[in-house]
Amino acid sequence: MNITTADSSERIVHISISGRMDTASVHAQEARFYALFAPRGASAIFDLSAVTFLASMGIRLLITGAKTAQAKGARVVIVAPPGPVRDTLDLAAIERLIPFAEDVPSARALLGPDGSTIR
Amino acid sequence: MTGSWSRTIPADLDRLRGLNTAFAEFLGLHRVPDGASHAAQLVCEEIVANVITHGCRSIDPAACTIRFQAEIDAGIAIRIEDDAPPFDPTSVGEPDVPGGLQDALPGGLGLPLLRRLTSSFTWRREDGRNVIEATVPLAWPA
Repeated sequence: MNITTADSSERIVHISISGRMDTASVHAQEARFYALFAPRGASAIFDLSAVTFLASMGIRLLITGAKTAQAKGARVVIVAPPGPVRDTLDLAAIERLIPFAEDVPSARALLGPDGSTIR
Repeated sequence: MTGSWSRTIPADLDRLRGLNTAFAEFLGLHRVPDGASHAAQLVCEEIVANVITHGCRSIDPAACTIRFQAEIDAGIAIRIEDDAPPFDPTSVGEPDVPGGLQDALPGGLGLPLLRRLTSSFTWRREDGRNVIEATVPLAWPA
């Protein structure tokens, strides 16, 4: 699992995750993941477009990240194109908790310019 | 699209990563469709990670081994055996549905996912080992 940021602003961090979000990878990288947005209360786009495998520990990471953001008045949108990763998120009914978008522009539209549009 | 594959690993999450990466290659070699391949890897990951992080923690992890077998035929038949104390994952109930993100518990998602991914999911104790058998349909998601 690789984590990078791109085209981020002060209020919205675009976090791209690629590779396998398996148990070992999440254990190794969760502190770094939260540090990208949580300390400054920024909203975030969790971009899973390049994720090839998603385990329940990966879903836990996404939920905990979204809860952390929400506690600071920030918001999260997940970008998950159709495919097995999206199917797994659907199976766990994650869209009931965190909004999904098909691509990054749609995610930005949901968040609005200051990252706080959705409720 | 038939074939069988097996590995035995110690109770170590890094070894689980290697196991599942190799399992993915095996599934790819046999042209298993992407959805069924991901579902089968997820079954492997959730069961073995649960054994490593919970079952084997209560005994000497060095003495805990996990044997993984898979056979592709009409579906992907998976069998996992471990030395950990008795634990029946099929007996774990469904978590409460949260009203929203604020009420959501981040954990406890793995075993409910297994039920939805498999057409059969059984546990038994055999010769002092846990034996889990699960089948993932090749046409997944249906």
